[in-house]
Amino acid sequence: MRTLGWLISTLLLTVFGYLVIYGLCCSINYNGRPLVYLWSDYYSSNGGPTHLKSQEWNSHCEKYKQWDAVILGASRAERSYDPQFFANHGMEIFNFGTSAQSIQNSRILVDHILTGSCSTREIWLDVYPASFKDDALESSADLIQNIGFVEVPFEIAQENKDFRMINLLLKRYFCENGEVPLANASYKRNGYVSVDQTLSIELKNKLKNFHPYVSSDFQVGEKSLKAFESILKICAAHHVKFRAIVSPVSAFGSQLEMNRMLDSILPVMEKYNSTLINLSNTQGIETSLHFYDEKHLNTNGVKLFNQSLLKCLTK
Amino acid sequence: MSHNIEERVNGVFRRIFKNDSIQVNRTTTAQDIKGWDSITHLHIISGMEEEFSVEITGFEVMNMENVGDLLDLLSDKLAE
Amino acid sequence: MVFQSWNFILFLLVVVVATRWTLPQWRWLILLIASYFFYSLTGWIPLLLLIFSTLLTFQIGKWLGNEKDQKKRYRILVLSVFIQIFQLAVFKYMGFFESIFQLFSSWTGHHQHDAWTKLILPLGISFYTFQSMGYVFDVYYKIRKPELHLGHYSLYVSFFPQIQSGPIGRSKKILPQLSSIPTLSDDKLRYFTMLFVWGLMKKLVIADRLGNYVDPIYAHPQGQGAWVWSLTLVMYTFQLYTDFSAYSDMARAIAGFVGVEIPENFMYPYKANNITDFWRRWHLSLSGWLRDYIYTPVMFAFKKYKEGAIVLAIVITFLICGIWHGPKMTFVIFGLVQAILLLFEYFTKSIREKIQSKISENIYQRISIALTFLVISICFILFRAEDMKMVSSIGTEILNWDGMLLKQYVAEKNLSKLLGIATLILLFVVFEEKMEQTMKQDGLSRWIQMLIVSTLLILIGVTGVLGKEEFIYFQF
Repeated sequence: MRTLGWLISTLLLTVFGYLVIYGLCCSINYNGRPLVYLWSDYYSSNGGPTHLKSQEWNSHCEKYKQWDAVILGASRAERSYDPQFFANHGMEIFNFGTSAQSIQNSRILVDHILTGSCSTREIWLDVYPASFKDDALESSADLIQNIGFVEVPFEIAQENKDFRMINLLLKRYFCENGEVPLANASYKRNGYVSVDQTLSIELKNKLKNFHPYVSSDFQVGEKSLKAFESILKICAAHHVKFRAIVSPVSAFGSQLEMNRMLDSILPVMEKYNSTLINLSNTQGIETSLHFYDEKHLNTNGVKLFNQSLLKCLTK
Repeated sequence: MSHNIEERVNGVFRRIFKNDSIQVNRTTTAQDIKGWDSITHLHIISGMEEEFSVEITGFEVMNMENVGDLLDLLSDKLAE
Repeated sequence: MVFQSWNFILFLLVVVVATRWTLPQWRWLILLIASYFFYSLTGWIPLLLLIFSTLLTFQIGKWLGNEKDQKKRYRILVLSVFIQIFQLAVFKYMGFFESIFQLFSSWTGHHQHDAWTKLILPLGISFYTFQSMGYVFDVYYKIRKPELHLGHYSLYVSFFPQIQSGPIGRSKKILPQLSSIPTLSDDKLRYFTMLFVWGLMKKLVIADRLGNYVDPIYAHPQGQGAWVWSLTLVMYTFQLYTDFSAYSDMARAIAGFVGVEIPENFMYPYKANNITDFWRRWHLSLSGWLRDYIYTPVMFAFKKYKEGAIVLAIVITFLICGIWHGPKMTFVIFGLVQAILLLFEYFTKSIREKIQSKISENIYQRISIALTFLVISICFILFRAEDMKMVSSIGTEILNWDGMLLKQYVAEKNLSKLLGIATLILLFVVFEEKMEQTMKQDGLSRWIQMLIVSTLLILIGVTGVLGKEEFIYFQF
């Protein structure tokens, strides 16, 4: 009994000491950042597109609003769907792609979007192998730090069962509460981020001699596949149409990984009768002209892609 | 007789460790004497073999835990 | 399942509570079920192999106990050792074949070797094979009587805190504990809590942090230059030690939580003043095993050759020590180099003693410790490098003392981070022994124990490298 008391007091002392020490380490600045950055690189900085788009989302949803579609996915989603273009064609969409968004985190977001005060007719998920890797750390760090939905950071932390989540939560709520750097030139409206450049000279050279790798140890993660299925389930429960979309892939992309991902997700989609729109090889899109790096479309690329997508949707 | 063996064994230890103040007894183990490592152990066993004109096999060495075991082994051998 | 995962901690809690509720003489059963469950997580085939090994050595032990004829006993021993070595060789070398298979499958784009890996390299096989083989030797040499209780014996071979990476237990120390396992006293519980957290700290705060610096350099050995390599070698030496000793401390603490005491594995190896001394302080459970079952028998078997016996015993022992780590040329050469170093020390003993008598004791000791550390750090290249090609390319890097490369490295890694690492290692070196001795003290105030545990946990949480889940020694 005495030992149990000792264990519990030790635990309490640890928690108390932890809050004090962590609070100290993140309130002391070193090289312009909280001291905790010195030994850990998994923190996400405060502000940025995720912050901006959840602010914008919340201001839209203060009063009821119905979207035609909400887009989820990683940075490829964030940078490939231009709400202005769709608005010009009479569709109100919101781009909720966030950097490195993992499928597990997409699931948490879908859950919140569909139960919140806004509603949507459709959910478009931009699918890409990297999001199915079961490694949600980068995405979780970004969302825990910057998302504007109160419960989401805690849900993400709970989902991950990784001690780093506690530090991420502490950092969000115990330090850096001050001003958020908001300026972000490439952030457009309704969550869209666009970049004008084309490929750098280095990448252009790399492209010339590029042989696509055949080998890859990429596998769709079990957790990710489960999360994917549960996204479909949630959409079905809310009578929201779900579409999985593959946006254009540059010449650097791995066909092998893409096939492995499709092999895993297509059977699941069949079960729920949802369709895949595969525009990975959209006509007229060229890596050297329409991408700004190995993965992401530039503004011109987005135009072409969005036109093709619209055609597909209206068919 | 056994007293005699003990003295001769001690003599071998003193010779090998080059230290005249060494006094081993039945419970002495390798941990008790500085420098008693496995190579010294080999010298000790060889020294015993010479001193008593007996042969000690590897098998016998393996289950020797202290000087007492060594003394018992030697007196068994001498009695044969 | 690694010790620092939530799942393991949950598993351990269940086992601890279950053993507390059982009578001491039945606790072995709970622990055996837990151990088999734990091991079955790595697959059914490894488990079957483990059970086969257990039954084999149990039966061999009985035969050895009943047989009076020394020649027949010897034959039984040879048979047993042969089967176990064969089993070990097949499964360790299969891994070698598999790497060829993997290479092949990566060319063809097939991707089906996951099942192979699980089937082929049973976790901890090197460790439990040695543990059970040690028991057979003990019975053969009549150091102990054969174990008659199959349950106790099975637990001895499969005990979950040890099975992944040792420490390799000795039958004389462990088996007698298993018939009636005592309830953990409050003092011990607090001690083992400290020990566990101490191990956790060494792993997450020091070893994995150093790994983040060592791994990228070993991944790109060329063009780093001698300065960067020197830093890396020092860091790897500490990484390997803190990683493995962390694992060993945690294993010892976990065994302690369920009432079994297993041996310590390290005695401050980097305070060794020569290589011979180093091997008396490093991976004690393996080096002790090799000393008792290989080195000593070989030496006494050939004792009429005097120094020849010593040379032979050292070379054979360290070759086995090398090969035990895996079927790689680097390990073989690692063993050989150790043997050469030990022989060098043996034959220069009197010269070194003469030098020692001329210099002040303090300075001699310090120089010896530094030299030993230097030699060990260099030897560990063989331990860490993938193959001999890598070793030789590191060898050529060591000749390139270009200061610019160091400057680049410091700029890239950030000076304050590198200074942080240096401080960390320094603090560890200064306080390690003191800390461990303090934890061991009887009657250490509970408040101090609480402070130690909390401080270590806070250190881990705030500064630890969290999220890696692998110990270096799991590969052996």
